[in-house]
Amino acid sequence: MASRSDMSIYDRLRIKYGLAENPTPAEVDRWLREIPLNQSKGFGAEAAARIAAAGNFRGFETRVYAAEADTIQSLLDAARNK
Amino acid sequence: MPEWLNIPIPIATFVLGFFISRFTLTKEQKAKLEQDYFKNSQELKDKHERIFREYTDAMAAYVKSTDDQTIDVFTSIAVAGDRYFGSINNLAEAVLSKKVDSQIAKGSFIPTICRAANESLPKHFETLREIADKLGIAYSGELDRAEHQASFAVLEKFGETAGEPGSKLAERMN
Repeated sequence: MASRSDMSIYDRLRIKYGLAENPTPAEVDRWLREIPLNQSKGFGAEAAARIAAAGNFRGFETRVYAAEADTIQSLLDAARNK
Repeated sequence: MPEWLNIPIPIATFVLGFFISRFTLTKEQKAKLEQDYFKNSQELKDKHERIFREYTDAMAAYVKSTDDQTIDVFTSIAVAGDRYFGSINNLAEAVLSKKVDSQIAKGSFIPTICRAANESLPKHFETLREIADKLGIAYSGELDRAEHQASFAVLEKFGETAGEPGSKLAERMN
């Protein structure tokens, strides 16, 4: 796995799919293998990758959404203290 | 087997088979339904994301506004906030009616709804009232639970498993 300082495929997947942790190489392999299967079912590339991510990565879309409330609260605080 | 059963049994089997095929789904139908739920979830999510951005943009615009713009920009936070919490309530209705992908519901909709209902929503109104007082403008916005019924229903039903109160949410999702 790559170091924290450079944006590896693992970091990018973690951010893109809001994962709790970086996926493991084995999970990424399974993800890559599943994408063409989903595409053959008629999904576009992006949707096919997203479905495969939902099935293979732990904590799928938990981070981005958990952050929604944090963003709102910090902006409300900033507005209040203006 | 008594002879008089020769007729009723095939009839009963036929009737039973008919109803079972009517009320159960084949593998293909099930897969299609799951695809529909997934697509539905994505559409809801995309729409919600746009509304979320409008709300945060309105707050950011207020923070950056100059003195002569402040009151107008304040109003836009109130409007964008109503839309945002309305969208949260839509997500909650979709979750309660089980018309969304269960993984996406668990992983993203439910935690978002719980934190919005439990933390952001009360804070939104509290902050707006405070700012309105400071600006000396009349603001009558108040949190009406009836308007956010589905959101609060989700919070009550899933709040504990989603790890509310919010600060602990992130750790529990691991």
